[in-house]
Amino acid sequence: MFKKYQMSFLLFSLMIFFMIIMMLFIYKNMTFILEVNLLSINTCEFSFSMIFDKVSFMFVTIVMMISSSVFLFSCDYMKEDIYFYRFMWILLSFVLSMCFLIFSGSLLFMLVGWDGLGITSFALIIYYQSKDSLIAGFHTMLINRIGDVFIVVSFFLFVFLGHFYYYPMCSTALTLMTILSVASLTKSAQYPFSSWLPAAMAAPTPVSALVHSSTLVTAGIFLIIRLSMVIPMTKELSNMLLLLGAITCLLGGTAAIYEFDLKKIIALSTLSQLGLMVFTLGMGLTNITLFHLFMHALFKALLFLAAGSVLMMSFGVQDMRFLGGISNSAPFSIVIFNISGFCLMGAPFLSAFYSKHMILEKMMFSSMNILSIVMISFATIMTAMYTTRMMKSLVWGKPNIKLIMKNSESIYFSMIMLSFFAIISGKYMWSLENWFLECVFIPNYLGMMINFFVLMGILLGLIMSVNNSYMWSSMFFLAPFYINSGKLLNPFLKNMYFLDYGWLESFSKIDIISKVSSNFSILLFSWPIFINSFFRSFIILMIIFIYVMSY
Amino acid sequence: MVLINSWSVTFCTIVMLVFISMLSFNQYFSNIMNYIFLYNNVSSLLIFLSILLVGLCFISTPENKKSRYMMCLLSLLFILVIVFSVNNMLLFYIFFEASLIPTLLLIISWGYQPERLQAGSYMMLYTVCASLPLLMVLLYWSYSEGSFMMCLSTMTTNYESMNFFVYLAFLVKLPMYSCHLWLPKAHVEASLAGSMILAGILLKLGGYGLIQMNYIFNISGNKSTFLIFIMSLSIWGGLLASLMCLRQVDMKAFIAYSSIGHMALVIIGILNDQVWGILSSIITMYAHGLCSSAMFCIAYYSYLKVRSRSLMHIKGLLQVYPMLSFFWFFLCSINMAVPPTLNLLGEMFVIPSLWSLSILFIFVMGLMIFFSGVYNMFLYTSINHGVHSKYILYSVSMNSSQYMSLIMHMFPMILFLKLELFFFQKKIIVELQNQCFSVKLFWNEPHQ
Repeated sequence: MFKKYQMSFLLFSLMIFFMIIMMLFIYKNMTFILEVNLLSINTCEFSFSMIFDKVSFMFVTIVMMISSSVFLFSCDYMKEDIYFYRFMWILLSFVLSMCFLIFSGSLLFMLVGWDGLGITSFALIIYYQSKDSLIAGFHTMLINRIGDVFIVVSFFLFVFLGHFYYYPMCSTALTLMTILSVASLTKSAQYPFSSWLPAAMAAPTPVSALVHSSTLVTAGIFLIIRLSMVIPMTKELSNMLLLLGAITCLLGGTAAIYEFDLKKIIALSTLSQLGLMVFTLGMGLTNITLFHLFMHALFKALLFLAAGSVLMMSFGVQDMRFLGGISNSAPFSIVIFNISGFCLMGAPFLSAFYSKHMILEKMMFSSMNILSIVMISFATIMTAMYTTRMMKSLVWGKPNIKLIMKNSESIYFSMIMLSFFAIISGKYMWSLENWFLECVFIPNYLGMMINFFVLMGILLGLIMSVNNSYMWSSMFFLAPFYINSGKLLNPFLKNMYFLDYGWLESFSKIDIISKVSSNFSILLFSWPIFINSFFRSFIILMIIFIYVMSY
Repeated sequence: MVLINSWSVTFCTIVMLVFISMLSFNQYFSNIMNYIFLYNNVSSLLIFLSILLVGLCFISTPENKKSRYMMCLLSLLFILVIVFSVNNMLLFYIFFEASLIPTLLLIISWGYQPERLQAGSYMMLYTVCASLPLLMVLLYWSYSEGSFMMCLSTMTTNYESMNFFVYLAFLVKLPMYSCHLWLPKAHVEASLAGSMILAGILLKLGGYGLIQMNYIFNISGNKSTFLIFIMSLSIWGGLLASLMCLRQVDMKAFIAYSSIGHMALVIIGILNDQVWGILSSIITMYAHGLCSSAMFCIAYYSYLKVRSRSLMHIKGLLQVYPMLSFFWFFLCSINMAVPPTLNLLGEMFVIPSLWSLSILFIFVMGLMIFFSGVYNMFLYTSINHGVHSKYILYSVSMNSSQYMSLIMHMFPMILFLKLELFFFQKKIIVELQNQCFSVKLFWNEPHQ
């Protein structure tokens, strides 16, 4: 009976285990690097190294925390799937590759996690056997593949360095850092590459909860964090990150306002939060980025679980225009939904309050361009706006379809566990690890302005209603651009025919030769029938061999 | 002959031979030679690969236990072992050509479509025509050297003008794009064992030949116009072959084109003749030998379920044969070079060598890596994803010999942990005090 829950138990106990080690590492403030040398060519050592420090243990604890509750959730969510265990195993390998990435210290081991995430996420997105999921899976996989290509191609720069660890990166390797950062932008779905993130919603909801919270999308950000932990980034790189992060944040927020699909709104909110994280990285605040990453992971997983429990009631209807009045039929899910929604807005004393407000205050404090500040401020308003809009349409009104309550204990338990962490972990982490603390000196009105943004967003979300807009729900035509870019290849592929079966074939006019000497060709093609001739020729070859040997 | 006629005895012998050939991995010297044989780590790897793959051919087709079939495979194995270990250049040439005969038999006798005759003659004519000039060059070389020994080559004569003839035989064998037409035809028409051996070892014979040619003629790596032309042709051809994959409908032709794409890296790695390049090409040869052979295996197993190799007819295997499609996923991932497989290391290690040529080569390489991801996942999804096709016959799931074959294809990838094996040391030219015959032994540089 409990066999279904074994992976969840495993992950939960691992979480306890890693949490204890995390305490130890934070207390002692130590770093272990395990390195296995695979090959050394001249002075260049191709190694396989793992880093154990407080960052990796904190991250892995968060991943285990989220994945244990997501696994528990999916025990019930996927229970009618006959391939339940296949799903769980793929999901487990997904979590495992994320752990590889977290502990990785060198290029090879990082690629194991990085590509492993790409491949397993592809397998999970195409888990449902429909054409839509196939398109979404390819969309995701190919954009992630661009990032892989960037990393693999940057190999020669590693060879110039003479070692393959990316932590600590040598300060002269600025080109390498830029290339790796571009690669991470594809994984973290920043602006030119961001269209795969809403498309990845074709996966089952537990997968989305994992992908969007702590695993796939955070991999890129984690890589930039690792790269810039020791050496500060160059000015060009940080400007690029600032601009792209702000654009992504704004784009995600705007697209979420014009979206009616419940899961896609949450996905776009992830996008805008990721933009905020990259923006913070551009400011050079790796510690706060990491802190916001953790907080975001917790409440976003919770939001997806709550949305998943709503979807279980509505039998997979995700359109918000059909949903409504869930506060009557499933009050508990809505409580959870609201907790995570308020976290997303950065409501006071929930976990994301500590990180998000710190980021915004730091933004006010720093001397950056006005464009990014305006964009991030708008994005903050929009975050509150679409969250309110989403909660409004779920909680109020009447549903247009029948909602049937069938949630069970495992769903409740997973949501309670995660909501507990989502509420307390901001304060808890802050008091546990003072590396996350930053101090800001800003005038009072700027501090109040941040609260004002949130309130204004809530107000706008309550009163505003929007029409359907193709431009914004396709993320400013980004998704059609990527989906249709395959069509560019089509005429080329068509013309490939002329190459291989066209003039390359006529290059060797074998038929004419065989027609001219038809007698010869009969001899040539009929000899294998007399298979003994093979043995004769073999013996002749042996004789030649012996002859040459004795020569 | 009596013993050879028994399938089980033959099979057990092959298994023993696999283990024996693994002993030669433990090498203290970079080159070991005697009057006839010359071993280095490349040849020991390729001998291991050929014995393993012949054994896997036996496992994969347990229904075919005819003595002719076994004789054909065993004689091919004999020829391959000789080719990979011989010191005498004339013998190398003879056995290089002789390997065509059992291959032709495997295509013609055990294929099942009338087009196999055309495929066989394509293969023969392409490879034989291309390699005959090599014989002339080799005879001229032996005349000027006074010996057939490849390790006694003094590299005094300049062979720059002949490099086209020297390389052509092996470029056709590998095959380079534009000399490749025989390969998809041969693969499509060949039986399973034929495809496995052809993709697994015979293509690598071309790579080994290129390495040997670099060994005896001092013509590679000098960035002459001809070499640059060949290298750029091969890498663009690799990209074209990757794109050709996307328009194939035949599974076997698909895999054949993907192997043309991978072999482009071998060509460029060896011809550029630098440490990383040669390392990468040896790794790619080994990894691709295992991977493509396993892909042909699994294509055959899927063929058994549907009785068609067309991608239009095979759909939705995931619903019907989950284990089969699990292996499809695994093998497609290996073929698209997912870490930590050797394929990835092969693709990665060629990049410093490409950089030394031009940064533009890296651009093409990036496109190739991208498209290898595209076509492999396209192959996987078009076979396994979606609603299963109506053409699927009633059949049983995979049996143990098929599992065994696929798992044993993947198992040798563990040599990933022993990367020194792939590190080929070029011959260090030692001026011999007297020009008479003596054994040259070079210590490997100590690895820690």
